[in-house]
Amino acid sequence: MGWVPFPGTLTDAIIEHLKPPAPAPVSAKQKGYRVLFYLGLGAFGLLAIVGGARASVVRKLPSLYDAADIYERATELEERGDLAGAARELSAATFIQPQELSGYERLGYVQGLAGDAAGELATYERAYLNNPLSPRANMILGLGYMRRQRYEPASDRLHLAVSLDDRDPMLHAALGDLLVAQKKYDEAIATFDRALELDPDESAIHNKAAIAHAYAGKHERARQLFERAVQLDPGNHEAAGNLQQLLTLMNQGGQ
Amino acid sequence: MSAAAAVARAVPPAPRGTLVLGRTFLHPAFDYLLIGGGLSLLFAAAVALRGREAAGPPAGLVLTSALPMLIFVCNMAHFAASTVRLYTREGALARNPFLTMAFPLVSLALVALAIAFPEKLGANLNALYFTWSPYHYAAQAYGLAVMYCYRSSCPLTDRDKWRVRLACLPPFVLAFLSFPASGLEWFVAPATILDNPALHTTRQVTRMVLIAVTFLAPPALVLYFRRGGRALPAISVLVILANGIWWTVLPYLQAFVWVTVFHGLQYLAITSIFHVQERMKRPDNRGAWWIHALWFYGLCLGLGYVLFQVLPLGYEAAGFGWAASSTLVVAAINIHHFIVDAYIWRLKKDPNYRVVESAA
Repeated sequence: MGWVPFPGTLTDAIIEHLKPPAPAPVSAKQKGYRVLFYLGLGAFGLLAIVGGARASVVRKLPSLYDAADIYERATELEERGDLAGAARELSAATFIQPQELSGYERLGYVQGLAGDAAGELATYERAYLNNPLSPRANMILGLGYMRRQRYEPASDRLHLAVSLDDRDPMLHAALGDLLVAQKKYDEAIATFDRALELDPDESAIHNKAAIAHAYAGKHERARQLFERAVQLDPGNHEAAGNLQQLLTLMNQGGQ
Repeated sequence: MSAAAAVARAVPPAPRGTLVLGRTFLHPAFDYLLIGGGLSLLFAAAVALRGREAAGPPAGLVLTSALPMLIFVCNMAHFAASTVRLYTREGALARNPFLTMAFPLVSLALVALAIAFPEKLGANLNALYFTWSPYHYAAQAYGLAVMYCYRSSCPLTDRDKWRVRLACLPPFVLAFLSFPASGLEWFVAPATILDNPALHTTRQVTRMVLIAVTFLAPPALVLYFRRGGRALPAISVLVILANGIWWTVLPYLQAFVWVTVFHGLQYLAITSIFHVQERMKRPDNRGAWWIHALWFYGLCLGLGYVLFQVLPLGYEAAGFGWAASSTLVVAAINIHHFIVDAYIWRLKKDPNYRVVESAA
């Protein structure tokens, strides 16, 4: 104890009173908890600060349940030509949300661009395994098989897709594509007719139907369909190019 | 006066009949609409009625345009409310040292690991979140039903509590069997279920049975109590029924979105009541009830924003992928909320019980 003026007097009592109380003994366990608490608080604070800084740079208040949000970075990476980075992002999305088909479609597309045909097909197979009763999952797997010229499993998947949802014109159109690839033009024409019945204003289906007619040698009908495709969507350059080719062929006497 | 007579006078008699209004916290209209889930049933009815009319936008569509704001003010704030309540309760650090002091760091580290390994860990974390959610809602329905029984002087034996719990569980089991990428599909690939006709058929039939059980359980519970000469508070039955309707009437995605909005509203209402009542009973209290309520809600709103909107960006800035950060932080917040909830709503030997028993 240090120097105290007038020991044993009122001053002594006041000094004793003003002394801070002796701290309660802290156990090692409590100390450990405190360390963890401050580490957690620090980590949270740091993440909040850097997250806030990033928020001010890249985004505003987003909608929590906007599923498209999770593909935002993948799109940016894809636009920058970083296909590996985009595939990493999209792959994570498909594993975390295996029921979201758009993730598989986008991942397969990026893998296709990168020349990873095996990876692309594996992605579509995973989409189907996780969503076997989804017409879209069956369709994308069927189209994946078709691109690798595996027509039998492609036919199984695409016929199942159509039977699961007979009202979706894109499913009929996908089956039509397969029938064209198999050179079954009459069946393809009938299938595209059904698709056009369901959606008479879809430029892409008109283009596909026109191709089937052209292969079947029905050039006049093909010309009408190509023209209609361009009329419905003047930005459909594929249909415009096909129309030019067909007209050239017809002028050369190929009619 | 004998001791038995004194006890009989102190404990109000158990209500008789089939259903009673029960003792509410603020006002019957407030409790029944917000905490009981009555508002959600009105919403469901409005969607169903407007859906049949040819003219005018459906009610669901009108509300869907307001969804981001509803998620912000109800959903995000409600997840933060459990954490705010955890730390604002008296003696919280001493009562739950691991939960209050170690768990935040553990959670942040686990999220980092899950984001770093989305295929192995992240996928499982998300599946756990989707599987646990319906159980959490069932548990909340059970907790609220029991709470209103206690508050309305309807004593519950352990056997009674089991009956109430059983009445709350069918929607969870239904969700476990039904929802994609969670529950049963977490353990068995959907294609495998489809390839096994016996499993597929059993699943379909069980789901149909569970839908029926979900709607039959609340009236069965009322009859069980009536047979014992007791009347349940109607709000206890309404809470169970509302949770059942959320998971059976609404389709999968809508269920997950709308259930969290209504559940969040329910949760914020009851948590605010507990917080305000505890604060008002403190000897050193100087604030009006609405100041405590606003302060509590403001904290929840602010923390909710940071957790949901800022934290994923923080992980991304730290070098992790965006797709994994944005989805897994949400999953982790949910799971953290489920765990914290299991501790902060205990009634036995807990200050919560004083609030349940006290008058409004």
